Amino acid sequence: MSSSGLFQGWLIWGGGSRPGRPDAAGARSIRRSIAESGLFPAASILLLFGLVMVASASMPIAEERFGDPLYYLLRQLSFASIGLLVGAVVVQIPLRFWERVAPALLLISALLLVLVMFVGLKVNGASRWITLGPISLQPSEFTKLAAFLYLAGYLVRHREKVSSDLFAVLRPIALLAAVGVLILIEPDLGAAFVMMVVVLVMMLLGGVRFSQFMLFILFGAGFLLVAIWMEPFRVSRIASFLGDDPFLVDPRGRNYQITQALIAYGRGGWQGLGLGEGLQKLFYLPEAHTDFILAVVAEELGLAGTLSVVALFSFLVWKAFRLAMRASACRQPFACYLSYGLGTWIGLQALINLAVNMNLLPTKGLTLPLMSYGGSSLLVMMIAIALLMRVEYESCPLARRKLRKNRGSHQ
Amino acid sequence: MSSHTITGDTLVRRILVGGVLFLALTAVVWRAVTLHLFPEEVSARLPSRVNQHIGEMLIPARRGEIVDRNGAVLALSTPVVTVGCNPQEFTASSEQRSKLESLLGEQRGWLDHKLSRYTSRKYIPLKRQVAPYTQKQIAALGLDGIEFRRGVRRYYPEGEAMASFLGFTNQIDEGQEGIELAYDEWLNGSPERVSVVRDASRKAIETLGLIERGEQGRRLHLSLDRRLQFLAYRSLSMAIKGHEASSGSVVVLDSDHGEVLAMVSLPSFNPNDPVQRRGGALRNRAVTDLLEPGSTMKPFTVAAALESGVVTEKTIIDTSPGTLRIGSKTIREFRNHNYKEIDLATLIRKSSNVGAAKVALMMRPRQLWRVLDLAGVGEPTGSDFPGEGTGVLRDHARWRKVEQATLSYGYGLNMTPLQLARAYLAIAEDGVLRPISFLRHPQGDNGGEKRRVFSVETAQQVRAMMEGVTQEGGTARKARVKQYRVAGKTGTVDKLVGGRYADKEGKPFGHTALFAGMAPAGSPRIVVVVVVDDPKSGGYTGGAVAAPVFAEVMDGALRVMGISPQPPQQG
Repeated sequence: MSSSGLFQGWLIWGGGSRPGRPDAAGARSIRRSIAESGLFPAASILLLFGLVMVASASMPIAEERFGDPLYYLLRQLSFASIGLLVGAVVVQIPLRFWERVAPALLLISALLLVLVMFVGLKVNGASRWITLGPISLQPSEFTKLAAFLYLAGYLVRHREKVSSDLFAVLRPIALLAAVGVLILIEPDLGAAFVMMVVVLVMMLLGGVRFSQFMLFILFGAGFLLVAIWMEPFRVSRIASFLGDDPFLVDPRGRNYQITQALIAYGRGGWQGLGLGEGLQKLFYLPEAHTDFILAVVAEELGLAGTLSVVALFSFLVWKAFRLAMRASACRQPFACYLSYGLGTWIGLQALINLAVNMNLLPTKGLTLPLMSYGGSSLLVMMIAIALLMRVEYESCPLARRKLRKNRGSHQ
Repeated sequence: MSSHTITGDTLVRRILVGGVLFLALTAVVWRAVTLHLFPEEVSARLPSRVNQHIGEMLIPARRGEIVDRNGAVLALSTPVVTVGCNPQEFTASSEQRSKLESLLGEQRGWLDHKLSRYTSRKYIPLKRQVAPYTQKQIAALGLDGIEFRRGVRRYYPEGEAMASFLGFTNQIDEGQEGIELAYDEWLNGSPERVSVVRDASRKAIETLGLIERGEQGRRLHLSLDRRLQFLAYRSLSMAIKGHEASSGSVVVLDSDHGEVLAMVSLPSFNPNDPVQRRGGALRNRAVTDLLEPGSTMKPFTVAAALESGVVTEKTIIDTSPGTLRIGSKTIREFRNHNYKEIDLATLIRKSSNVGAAKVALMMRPRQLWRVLDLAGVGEPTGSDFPGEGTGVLRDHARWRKVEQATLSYGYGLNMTPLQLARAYLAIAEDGVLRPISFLRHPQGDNGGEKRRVFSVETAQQVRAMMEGVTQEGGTARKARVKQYRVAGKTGTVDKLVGGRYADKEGKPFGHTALFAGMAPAGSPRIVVVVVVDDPKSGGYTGGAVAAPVFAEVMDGALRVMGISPQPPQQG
């Protein structure tokens, strides 16, 4: 059963989708599913938009660091190509496979996290990277995905107990919190925070009791405070954030990054200075091509550009939640939980990144999904999009038919 | 949606999660709109920071060159680079390091020694004033962490011969001494101000536009003659060496135009070597050093006497017994001669102190003072040379009798060699004095105010008497120039040290040998003043030490200026 399930997709990819040949009963071609879905254009636009902005933002710093203005762009392009290949494979693999291997994936991720503590590449005081020849990978990114896959599977297996048995709830939370601590050790508070929040949201949507949920919220908040107090630089970031006017506190010091980001918005105005015309990326704005790529968008493309980014992410999240609800209606719990998890993840990480860029939240090392420079982040996000596409492909014909009928009645 | 889903995502919970996300989305959108369109709402300081990238940059003007009267270059600014190093990025191998060291003309290990002192710095200047050609060679090595900064270097092709006259510039090409300082503004021009886009490391990325147009430094056309300057330099340095003198100066003037043709001061220095730019060598002694002119003042005493009518050309003065006592002071002749009864021409030819004193005492103080004052003693020459000395001539109302007597042969007043040369202009130009200029004036007139010091007849009479100095029986036969008639006057001055001319045993502290003269005597074109300070061997008189230098320089000047020879008059 399982082995045939594993190769089901491959068979379809190989012959089922040839034009002119009728599909197997009840099945659609994956290509057609992808083409009909809004996921593909939205994600593609974000990806291409991101590549263009990485090109614009990274040229000065790449020239300075490597003497090659295209250095970062070419790397990001190759990661995107790898991501397309991996995504094409992932989309062929039935969700049942992931449900089964999720615990193993989580274990491998945890082992990699332990490994990175010892052999990790240190950048800016944090060892987050494992180097494999020319590329370096960030295990914490993969851990997040593995955690959501695992939790979705767990919620399926323990659906009944979760809403009654506190122990059944505590078990995955404790396990994932332990993994979260491994991420914190790197230290990567942003990743750990995103992971735990998404885990809690999945718990909530998985039917955990409200009272227990609130308990976890309190527990998580306490945990967060401890994590913040442990590291002095986090305290200073919060302190600089709480100072209302970011310019009043030491404009060249710890607030430098955020004030330079804020300047970019005012320079952009309505429609921006034009692609490539921004000046903040000329070393005024540190990390212009990674965490602060939105500031570059804002300066070069203005309010129109910023709101486009917001709209695209909103659409992705909305689409993921729609898929989750449809999967729920189709009695596909794993697909449902996974979609919720991935949708919340993409939404939360985008929201935090945007909020940090606009000084609504203190500075955190979080990338903007699909847009920021960074191989691991891009790869994992493309896998997440591929998983959502697979969820859409696997959703039941009933729901689809209902949808089509509705659409037809509107026309 | 029913609440009986198998997944537990009840409507309430969906709304809760969706609602929280939607609220966050609203906040982000609201914030984006505010930041983009109303940044002043977020911080009052944001709008002013919007133009933080725009800055101003100065593009320095190239300093003008200095040329001599024939257009030969005397000072030139050339672009150079400062080779610097960022030790944080410098990763050259030892082989590359030794290549770099040899290109910079340094020994092995010099680089490591230099870098080891400032390992934490981000920039160390390694070598200044490197030629662009060497820069290309260094750049070809392709080393990381090596930086080039543009600069400019002033080069003086004539070296020591011109050093104290031209002066020099500092590292940013501003005049520090001499002509470079006097005409700094003219030479410097003004930098161009442009507005530029700068990156965060303040590096200019792009030029936006011109704020203020600059002006290139202008060329300075001097009246100096390069060949003559070198001749004077060589001649004077040979004399200083030969007579073991301590210093000296030569001034050559074009008497028709008041232009300085050469002005040498020794000891000198190499202006192309910044290490040598210190100490007394920097001083241009021809302009800054005050000295008592001694016997070279006697022609003016005679001229004043002729002018005031107390004597005529034929007047005989009895100088016996070779001394003259005024109060407690006894005036003696040189080497205690007794010239007995002499006329004015002999007075000049033999340089009789007693005769000059007696002539001076025939006049009222004001009559002598007026000629000296008009001749420019105690008055700037109008050259505007930095640090120019003005000299002292005390007011005649306070002269005592002995002062009036000593003034007549050049003691009790002081002046610079340049002032002395200028005073001689009055004798050369038939009594008319004009300001001195270092610049070439194509129309032949430097525009200065001319004034009459004494009459044409007086000037011609004095000049005729001065011709005798170089003839048989004169004090300076060595000042003769072949084929030309020369008029001049020697001076041998006891040095004034601490208010005294001689030590307790009556021995003088030293001498200054002078010769001032002009040629051709009939209608002078060139005036030359030679000063040699403290000659210790081979004689010490103006006639023995300064006159040969005068003859050599004058000979060269007459040829260089293309003045046709006139056979000397007999008698």
